[in-house]
Amino acid sequence: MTLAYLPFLDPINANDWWFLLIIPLALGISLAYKAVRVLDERTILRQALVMTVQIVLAMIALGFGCYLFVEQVLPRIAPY
Amino acid sequence: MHEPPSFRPLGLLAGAVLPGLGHVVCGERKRGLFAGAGVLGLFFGGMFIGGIGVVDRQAEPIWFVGQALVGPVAFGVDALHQNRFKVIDTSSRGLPIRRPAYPTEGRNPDTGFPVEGGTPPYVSSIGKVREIGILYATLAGMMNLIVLLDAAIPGVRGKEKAAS
Repeated sequence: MTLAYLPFLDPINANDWWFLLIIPLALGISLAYKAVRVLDERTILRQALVMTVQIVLAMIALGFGCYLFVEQVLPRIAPY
Repeated sequence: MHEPPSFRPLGLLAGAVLPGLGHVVCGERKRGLFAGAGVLGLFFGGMFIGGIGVVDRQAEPIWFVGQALVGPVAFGVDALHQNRFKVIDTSSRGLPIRRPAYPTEGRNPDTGFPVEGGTPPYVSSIGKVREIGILYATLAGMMNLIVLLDAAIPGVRGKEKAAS
């Protein structure tokens, strides 16, 4: 039996694109953080957007770094 | 030149009621709205992703510690989840327990007991979607702690504002 989807009660089907959920996560964190951190209230939104991009790029770089370490560096220093 | 306010009890109280409200009542309307949007966006974003099951004091007590920092909203959602959407069952020791309804069960709205052959009130999330939903809601609580502390003690920003 297929049940009707109820927003906020049922989970969304994000199993194929779950990694994209880092973007709204970073935006929410940036918005709350910059709201209390920025001196000029008019620049909150712009600074939050910049921080969102920084977080996402940093996560991509971390992921790439982990990939390089596990797939390229580790096999060279500790071969099978 | 007057001394900047070092502690704002009204900001602390209002911020504990609703994320961002502490700043709003202290005159920082825009700041409070952005902070509230960030915190509540994360909290309800987590619910949107993983369903109401991501806010569960009984099944995920440690994660709920973080989620509880969102304030009465988190407790309200959890109470709604426990009392309106879970079914009442009996444990192996004969004690009453609350659990999500199985896919083949419904929920009797009057008694809360499961009804065989009905439709479950909600689908419990599993896997990555559940983990991400829980993470969203918990991060909302942790961010609200920062917002709450800032509403109560504006710190450097408050001093600079008062000096200008």
